[in-house]
Amino acid sequence: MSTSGKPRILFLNHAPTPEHHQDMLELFEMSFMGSLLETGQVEYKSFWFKAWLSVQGEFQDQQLLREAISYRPDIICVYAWWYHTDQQAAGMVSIVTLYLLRKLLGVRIVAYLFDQYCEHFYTTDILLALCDMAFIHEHRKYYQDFTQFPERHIKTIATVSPALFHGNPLSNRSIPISFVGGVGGYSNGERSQGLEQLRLNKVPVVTPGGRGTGQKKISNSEYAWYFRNSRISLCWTKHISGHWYQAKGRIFEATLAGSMLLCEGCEEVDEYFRPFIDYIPFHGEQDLVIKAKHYLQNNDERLKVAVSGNKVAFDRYRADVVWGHDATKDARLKLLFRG
Amino acid sequence: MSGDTMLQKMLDSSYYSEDDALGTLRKKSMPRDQVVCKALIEMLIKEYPDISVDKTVSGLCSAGILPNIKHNSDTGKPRILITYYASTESERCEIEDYSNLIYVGPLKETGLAVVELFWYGPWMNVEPEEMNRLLFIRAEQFKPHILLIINGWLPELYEDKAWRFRLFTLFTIRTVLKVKIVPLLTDHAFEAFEESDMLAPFCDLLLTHEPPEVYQGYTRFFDRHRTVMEPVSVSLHASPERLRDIQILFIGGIEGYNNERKLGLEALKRAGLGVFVPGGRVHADGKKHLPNNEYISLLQRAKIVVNWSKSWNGTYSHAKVRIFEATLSGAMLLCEQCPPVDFYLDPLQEYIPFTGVEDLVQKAEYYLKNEGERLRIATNGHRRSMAEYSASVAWKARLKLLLDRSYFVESEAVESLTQYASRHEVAAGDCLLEYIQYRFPIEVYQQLVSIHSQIQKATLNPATWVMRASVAINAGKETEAKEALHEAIAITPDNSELALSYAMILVQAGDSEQAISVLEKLLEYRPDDANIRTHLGEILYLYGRHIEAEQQMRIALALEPTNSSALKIASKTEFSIDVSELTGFFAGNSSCLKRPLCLLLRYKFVPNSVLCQRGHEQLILTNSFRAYNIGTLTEYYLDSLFEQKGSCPEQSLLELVERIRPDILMVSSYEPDISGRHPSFSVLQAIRILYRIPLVAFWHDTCGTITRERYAPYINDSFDLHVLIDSDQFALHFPTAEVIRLMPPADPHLFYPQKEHDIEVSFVGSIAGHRSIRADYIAYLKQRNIPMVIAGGQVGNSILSWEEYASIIKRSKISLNFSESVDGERQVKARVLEALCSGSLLLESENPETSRFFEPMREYVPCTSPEDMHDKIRYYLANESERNAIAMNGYYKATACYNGNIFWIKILNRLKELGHLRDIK
Repeated sequence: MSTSGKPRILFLNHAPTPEHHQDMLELFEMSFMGSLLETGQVEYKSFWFKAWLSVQGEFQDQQLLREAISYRPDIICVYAWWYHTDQQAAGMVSIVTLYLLRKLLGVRIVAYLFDQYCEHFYTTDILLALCDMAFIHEHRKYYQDFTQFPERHIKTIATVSPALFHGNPLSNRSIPISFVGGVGGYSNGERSQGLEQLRLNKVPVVTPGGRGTGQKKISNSEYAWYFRNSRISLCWTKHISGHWYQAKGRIFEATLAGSMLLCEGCEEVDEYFRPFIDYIPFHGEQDLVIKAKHYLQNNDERLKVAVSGNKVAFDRYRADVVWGHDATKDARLKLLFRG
Repeated sequence: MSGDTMLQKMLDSSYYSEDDALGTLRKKSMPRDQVVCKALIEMLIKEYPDISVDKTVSGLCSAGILPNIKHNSDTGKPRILITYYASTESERCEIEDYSNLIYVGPLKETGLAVVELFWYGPWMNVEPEEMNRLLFIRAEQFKPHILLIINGWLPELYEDKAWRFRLFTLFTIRTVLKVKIVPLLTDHAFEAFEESDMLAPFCDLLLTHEPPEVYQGYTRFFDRHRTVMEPVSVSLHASPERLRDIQILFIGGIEGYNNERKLGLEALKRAGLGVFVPGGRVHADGKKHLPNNEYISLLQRAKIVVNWSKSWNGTYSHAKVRIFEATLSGAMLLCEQCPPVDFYLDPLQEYIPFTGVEDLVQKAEYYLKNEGERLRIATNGHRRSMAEYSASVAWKARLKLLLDRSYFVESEAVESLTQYASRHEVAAGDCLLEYIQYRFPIEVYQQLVSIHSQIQKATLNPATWVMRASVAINAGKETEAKEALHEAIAITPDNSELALSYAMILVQAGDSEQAISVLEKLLEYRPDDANIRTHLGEILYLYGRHIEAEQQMRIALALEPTNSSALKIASKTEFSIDVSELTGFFAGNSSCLKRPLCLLLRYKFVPNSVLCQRGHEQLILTNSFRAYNIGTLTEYYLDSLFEQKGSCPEQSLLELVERIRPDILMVSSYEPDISGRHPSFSVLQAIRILYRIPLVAFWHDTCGTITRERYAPYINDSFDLHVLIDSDQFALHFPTAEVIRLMPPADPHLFYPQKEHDIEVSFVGSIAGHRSIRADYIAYLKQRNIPMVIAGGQVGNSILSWEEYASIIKRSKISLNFSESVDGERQVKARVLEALCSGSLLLESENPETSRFFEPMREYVPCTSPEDMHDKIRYYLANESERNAIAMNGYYKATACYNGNIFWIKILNRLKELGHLRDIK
């Protein structure tokens, strides 16, 4: 623990290329690390393991160990896509380094695993054996048969930057309906087909871009601005594999921003929001078009859902609550968190 | 998120387990992890002395991540990395115990060298190629002068050859790290030296305990071999004069050795000489495994130690370690006389030789009675051994030899790498090169890559394997020959010469079943190779599978009626194969003739089908033509292509004919007046006359008065040949037409027997329209709870793909068929051949058309009513062997007599008989 009494975290991140590094820095500004740091609950440092420097052999592992000895964190938070073939291992922190950090410095090691396919849980077990726990977004049923450490996986949600996303549902909103995020690559092109159907039916949907390849790249401010200024925010919920549903970070981004969430219905979302009360579920393109039209034409109904969703999200899923400290009790942060 | 917050969880909860962590490091660490580990530990020791790493280091060493680095401080002494193989961890314990007493332990005791051990085996939980890489890394880190391979190169002892060190690994250690390679060949004799010659080009020297006459004439590298004795631990040394309470001692295995040990020991016991046989060093034959301290104690208490000198199988004699153990521990050695023992000890002076059981007993008795003489011999032997064969003397001389001498020649090793190329070598090389790429200068890496690519090339060259097989055959090594040919066939599975050679070797080795499997596999690539079928038929016949043999011979003769081998074998056996009907087409020298180019006009899809299902015509005509490589087939689709080509389809047909100039024009299901899609009759006639090519019509559905009236204008000599697929109705009603009646062949790629029949009864087809009689049958069966799968039909929305359709038939124990067509007439459905070729029992409503070709109740089962069908289903489901017998009879007949090849040959033969196709094969 630091002199301030706050836990000290060393974020250990991995980037395969300089471009990816830059992209991840931006992503972390608005979610994950960024959201936690904004809450002021911890002291932190981050260490980037740069795969493109791996030709230097053990150099980065030595640097990391030196950094950890010097900083003495309570927790090392490993953010990783962890496939660990021999080839890829060359660009990642060595498992021996993690072992020495845990064993010699007594630092707790927590992994943060995103967007895993079932079979990845085999290889993430290599990492998990060295960790105290891992946070993931997937439901237990998708990994329990693939990992030998099911109990070490703890389900959590994506946390988002209060400064960027928190909004008032009653504020004026210039965009009728929007979808912010990747369009390609999802099962059967359902995102692009859904958007196409909306346009064919004269629903003025806005798709400004996102982080996906082949998309217009938008800044974090722009990304959040669209949520804060859309009456309705769309969300599809399938995992990129198309095999299961997920509670996407977008459902929290939309509701915290005060937009009405019109979302592909599934159990995973219903775990956090009540359908037809906190958000409106849709099933298929036709249903999407009908509901989009209905809630655009009936603003009172839309507002009712948006307000309810925003309240639930603010009470339960805002970053400070999820990470551990209710910032609204802190007068200095209250304004920021109210959006 | 439920319960605690993320920060609370991170700070308060932990599922970390040291065992999991170390276990994962042991199993999953990559070479890079080991490099990182060493670097970090060194950094911690140097830069952070206040952080205690001792316990962590010892854990990492035991997990095999970190080599024992403290030995590196022993400068000036030669460093030796010794490898030991153990098949299990418990075996490793036994070998480790043994090595402490003999060879390794004594070397450590002398302090002459820095020694490190590398244990390996399947218990490591890594792939063998990874083990190879770990050896290289250990050598890189320990930097030994010599890599001493103590066991693991004994092919007769270690079946799992995957766990050998790969030659590429040894080569890389030798050339990149400059470490000398020296194996110790223990219990190695005669032919085994031929085997270890594979290893010799990569070695500086090869050590063995066997006398030179055991390897002279067997190894090509005689000069490289050195006979050495086995040094033993100083803890065994004891004065001959100490008090001894065991009269005669024998420690070791008793079973085997030509029974000599057993007989000798029994004779000693009978003579009342008090021989003590406590067990042995190796845990086998139910013997007690003696721990080192007990072993040493027993030797030091013995007055006389008995030793037999023959090898385990009694083929040669050698100087066993027991002669040194006995003399160094101060006992008198009573030993079976042989030159190798006399080489080390003087007979009658330093040990007492015996020859035979009687001599053994007499001498044992004598020396036990004459203690002074026993002590004199024991003292002489002890003195000689202490002076010349103690570990310090032996190892000093041996280290000098190993450090000074080398027979390694790099070019010879490179050549051998190619000679002994294998998949294991390639895999180990891949694994090693990945590591070397990041750790060594680029030129080293590139040179190794170049050699590795030569190995890869040789591995993929079937000639490499054929040559090895040839050498193995000449040496009488059938197993090796089989392995080599197996590899060759894996590279070129369609090489019939190789596969036939392999099959013949298998037959010679008595493995006919495997030979049959090899040829069956080959037939997948060459289904129309009469020669392969002939060989397969012969092997099947010799193996007692007469029905299948006959089937293969029938097909072989159908494919090639003039095949002399097939005719010869067929005549020798009791097969009643009538090849006369097949010989016409093949008569004469066909090698200079070309295969026909056929233009087929047919429907692509089932007419009027909603979902564009591909029609049966594709299976019956196109697929059979192509499956048997009858010739070249160009298709012109009456439905889709005509639609696409707009207003003048006949013009496009004429253009096509002009362009490709077919040998035959074939039209399937011709009906120009009905569909409006077919080329007009006059256009077909024009093509026929203009291009002088025969015109052939295929008729698939010929039942019913209306049908015949509709087709009447065309069933005449306007076509050169009418092929009737389903019935003889056209032949009966249009006697002037040139017709040939054939069974509709089944697509061999879709319909074939499979092992599992998990569907009891099935019917795959339509029950609509005039087929409503089928519905009556099925309703009756359903009411009586017959377990049935009903599916398909080519019209409507519930159609199946052909793969699904075939899958149901193949999985069915019984396949139902209904032969009724319009106007109460009967026809042969394609389903008949499909069911029979799939090895399913065909149960069909009675049909004179089917019984013309297949024998009822022997090759299929007819039934007369729903009640009869029900009873027969119940009967044949309950009587599996009868059901299988009928199904197999039907299968053999269908595949031998009515396959696609015969279908097309008969058509082409008839056209030739009619004066067409003169230059066609």
